[in-house]
Amino acid sequence: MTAHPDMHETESSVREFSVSPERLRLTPEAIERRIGYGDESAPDNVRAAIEEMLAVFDSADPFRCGFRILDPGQVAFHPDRIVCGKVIFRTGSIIGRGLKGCSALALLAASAGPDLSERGRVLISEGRELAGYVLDTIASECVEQCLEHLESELAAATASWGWRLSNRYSPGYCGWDVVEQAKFFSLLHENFCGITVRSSGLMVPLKSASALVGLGENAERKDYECSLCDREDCIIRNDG
Amino acid sequence: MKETSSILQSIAQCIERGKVNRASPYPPDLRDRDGADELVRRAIDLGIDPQEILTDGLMTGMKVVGEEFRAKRIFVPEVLMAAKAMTAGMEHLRPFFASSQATHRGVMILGTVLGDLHDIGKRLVGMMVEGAGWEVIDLGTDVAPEDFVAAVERRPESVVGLSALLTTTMMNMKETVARLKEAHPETKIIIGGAPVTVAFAHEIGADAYAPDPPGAVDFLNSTVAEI
Ligand code: B12
Repeated sequence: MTAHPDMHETESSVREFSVSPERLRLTPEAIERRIGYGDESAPDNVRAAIEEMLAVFDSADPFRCGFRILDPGQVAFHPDRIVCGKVIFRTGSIIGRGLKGCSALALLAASAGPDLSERGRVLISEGRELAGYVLDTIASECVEQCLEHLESELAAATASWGWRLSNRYSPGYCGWDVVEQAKFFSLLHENFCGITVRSSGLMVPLKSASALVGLGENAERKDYECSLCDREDCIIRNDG
Repeated sequence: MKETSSILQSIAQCIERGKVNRASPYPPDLRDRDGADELVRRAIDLGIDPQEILTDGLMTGMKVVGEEFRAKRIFVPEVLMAAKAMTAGMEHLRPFFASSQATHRGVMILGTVLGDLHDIGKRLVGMMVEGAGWEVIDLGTDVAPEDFVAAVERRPESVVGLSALLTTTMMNMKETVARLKEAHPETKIIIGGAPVTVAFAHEIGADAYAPDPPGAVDFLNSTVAEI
């Protein structure tokens, strides 16, 4: 990606990747953590199921993910919303604060595809509930890792412009209503990364995720994001 | 009788630990020991009342599993193993009960509401509710309000459980509850899923909210007289 950021939308502002399973390198420890085992290790049979299902994961087809960069001319940041031409994201003030100093925006999407969760479902219906559940969890972790991967691609693509990255924010988090998912995908080409959005905002395949990242010379990544948030009852709150 | 209580205790322990049968290698410290499968068979051969095996053996074990899960000392995999052990034990008991009603405390109709395709959390609820002695009719995902109503029509004694995973699809619970209450005002409804709250349950006229499967079991049991 060599185009200059002041250049308005061109094909070069949209990039799609095909990420192989080995590239994501999911570890048994990461899956254990996602299941809930903190520092203590999982029982042997769970560990064995994780290892068996990671082998299934390793033989999966590559996953699709990608981003679109909206350059400074296409986006205006406000304390509680982002205006991208006709599309206005009502992100709320938590995300607004997190994007302070940003001048450009990247829209990210990733999908583990339908195969892993379908195989998980079949395993469950065949009486292999543990294996099926583990594979489903691996697919969730895969989506998260695809987003991480996209962030590093994004950093690499924009570093030469002196841009840094903000934290990543997803519709449905930090006070941003998941109903805006449709608007989000209206800025990406149809079937972006194989994802379609239902009227409820649900992405299909289920194991998909979307997020935005602020960009710019003054973009800032904050460590203790949860402490910024005022939603005391949030289930993923982790500020101790 | 000492032998009776000790075998029932062992059955409960097999459920707690997810020990399905003798052949299953897990958990490692119970390797080469009998599991729920063999012990329930033996209990029947000893002449213990099947109802007692069910309530004081299998269900007692499952109750502990629920408590441990809620306290985050065990996680979904252990619950799945426990449910498997439970099923292995139940297989032997079924023939002793004339009808499914006799083996069950009641019926739960479970489904993920219209617009939502999430399945796994709802299935876990179903498994644990079954383990607590209830019959579960799982309508699947993306279930329209009228399909819930039709299911209650077929089994009017049921309690209904609704699941949703997004704040948007959660809104479809409102319509479902309204339609159910209109057609069957006496039907009890419990709702759950990651974004759902007790306040939302009140707002839409559902009878209860629970954050997890043991909570669903508690509510279900509260709707029937203790056995
Ligand atoms: C893993 C995860 C994902 C994974 C996989 C999702 C999946 N389930 O397949 C991925 C990364 C793909 C993902 C994506 C998204 N996610 Co997500 N995700 C989660 C997370 C961390 C765990 C969900 C999970 O799998 N739990 C394990 C299962 C077994 O539990 P469960 O389904 O919740 O069911 C349990 C209970 O809820 C309860 N229960 C369930 N049903 C019922 C029914 C009754 C009657 C009762 C009593 C109880 C009950 O019992 C079950 C067992 O304990 C939750 C946060 C959380 N801690 O819950 C967010 C969460 C569900 N996600 C959320 C969001 C917003 C999203 C996205 C929209 C983000 C985005 N923009 O990309 C997308 C949507 C995906 C789509 N297809 O549209 C929100 C939803 C709330 C909202 N704002 O709408 C949550 C709650 C996080 C938050 N913000 O607080 N997600």
